[in-house]
Amino acid sequence: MSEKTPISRESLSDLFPPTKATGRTVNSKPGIVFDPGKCTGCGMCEAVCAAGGAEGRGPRTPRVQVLRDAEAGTSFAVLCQHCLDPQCMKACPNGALSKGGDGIVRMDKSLCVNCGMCIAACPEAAPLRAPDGEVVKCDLCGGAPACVEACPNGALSYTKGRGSFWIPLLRWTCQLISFLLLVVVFVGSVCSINLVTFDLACPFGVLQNVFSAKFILLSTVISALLLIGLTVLFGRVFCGWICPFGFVLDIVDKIIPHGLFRLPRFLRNRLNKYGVGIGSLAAAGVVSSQAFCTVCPIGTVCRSYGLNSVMAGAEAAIVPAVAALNLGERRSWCRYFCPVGALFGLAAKIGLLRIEIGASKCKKFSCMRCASVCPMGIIPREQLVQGISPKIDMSECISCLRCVSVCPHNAARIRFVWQKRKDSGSLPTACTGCGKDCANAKENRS
Amino acid sequence: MKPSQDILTARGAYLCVECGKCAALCPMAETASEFSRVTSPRGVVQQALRGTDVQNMPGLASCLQCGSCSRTCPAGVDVAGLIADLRMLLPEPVQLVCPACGTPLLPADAEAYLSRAANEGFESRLSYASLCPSCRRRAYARNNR
Repeated sequence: MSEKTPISRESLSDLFPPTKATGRTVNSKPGIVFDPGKCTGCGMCEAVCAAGGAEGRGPRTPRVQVLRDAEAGTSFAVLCQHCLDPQCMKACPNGALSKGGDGIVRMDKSLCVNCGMCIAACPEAAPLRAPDGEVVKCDLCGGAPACVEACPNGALSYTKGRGSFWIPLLRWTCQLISFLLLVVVFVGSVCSINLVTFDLACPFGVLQNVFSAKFILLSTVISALLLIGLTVLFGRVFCGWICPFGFVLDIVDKIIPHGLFRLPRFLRNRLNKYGVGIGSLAAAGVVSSQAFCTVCPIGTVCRSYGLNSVMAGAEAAIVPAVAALNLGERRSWCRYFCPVGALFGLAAKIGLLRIEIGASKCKKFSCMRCASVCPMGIIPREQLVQGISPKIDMSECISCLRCVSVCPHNAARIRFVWQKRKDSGSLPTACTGCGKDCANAKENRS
Repeated sequence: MKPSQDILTARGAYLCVECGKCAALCPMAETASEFSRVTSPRGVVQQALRGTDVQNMPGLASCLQCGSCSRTCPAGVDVAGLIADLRMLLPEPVQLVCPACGTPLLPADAEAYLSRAANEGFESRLSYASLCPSCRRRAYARNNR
């Protein structure tokens, strides 16, 4: 900048490039994982942090705070989670906070005026205010946190934040094989396959058959029950791992952008698929044929896209038309309209498998990878950002296990109904246990 | 009500040399709904010295009480303390308090700035925003143990 240039807002932003980027480009997410089950509240993390951390230039205000609840006998370390999309960074009026390429959220003390907006924006209030008014914040000791080394109970552990890769590998392989089998080999499709010893049939097709023919053929019911039984055991694995149209949608989702438009609100209701189901059953009863199957995307992808089947004119147009819905939201058809999925959803509701989000190591608002990766969009960000473990509705979950594979903290887990699960948290009400009786306190106790 | 001599003396307002360093640092420039010569910390000090009625001081309601003005003042004026004292003279409290412990929360326009800047993309108002930082830490710990 030359001396003659008058200082304007633009020239200032040249000097101090805006740091208010959204952090989404940074994929590595280092952080300290805290396990409340192992913490004894000894305060060693506070002590080594006050002694200066890894640099050892103390004494200073510790960047970690241990909250002890004597009544409940629990303790909890509040420390910065180095969010993927930090709220503090967006809230800082001076742009003093920035997320480096290594994923560590740092505070530039030369820009900070200690206004405390970062504390107000953080769901955990992790930046701490020193007694003299200075706002301090963890910088992970540059990648080798001293508190993790010092913790005698192993309650703190350092993670680079990478998910596993073998679950997606397994799923894509399974989807590819079933796509090839159902579309290329058995041109008849999943609607009904005649294998050597048993039949496999689409349960919704069989249900339509019952309504249209007005009598029940026992052998078809048995072949339909195979998929229903699979769903009761493992959730809607058909939708996530087998369905050929789901495979098409997953590939389309990899290619096209999302959020270009929003469906009208009445269409974005997850109960719609049950309505579609009841409607097509009624239609089957009236016209005495499987009316929905002629337009079913799963059926059309099997019938009209195989090698030895002719592209069947209007039928072949259904698949791209329905897949175009994905420009709005991922797997829009599966979310809102698919009656086959609705039938599996009913079975999964009484099923044995549950997905648990937010086990004790979950970092909730700071990570939210599960919410961003879920193709069905059933992991609520609003709850995660408030520090609550959301309860997953298994009738909407397609058991694709994307959340499980992407979670670097082992907090998204598969639980069967007989296994112990963490209670889903309640909304953080204003109660701090003051002893007075009020509505908040009652809500908190229950 | 006009600020009394006692407040001005105790907070060192007479020492003000109008350098404007407090105004340069003040985060109200971003968080307040309007930031001007009058609403800045320097403006508040000057208004107080001129004996303006506290109800005509628009800067009082937006102050975050961070104290960066007091720390930077080369003349030693405790601007944040002065603003805190002047707020006491207002007929109505300007700040909401934490429902659990009574700590003053952010002023209304700073809350609006926060929800504009940080909480975008969330449809519902976040319930943690109604708690003061220390109560929020406790609520978070309670939900995650």
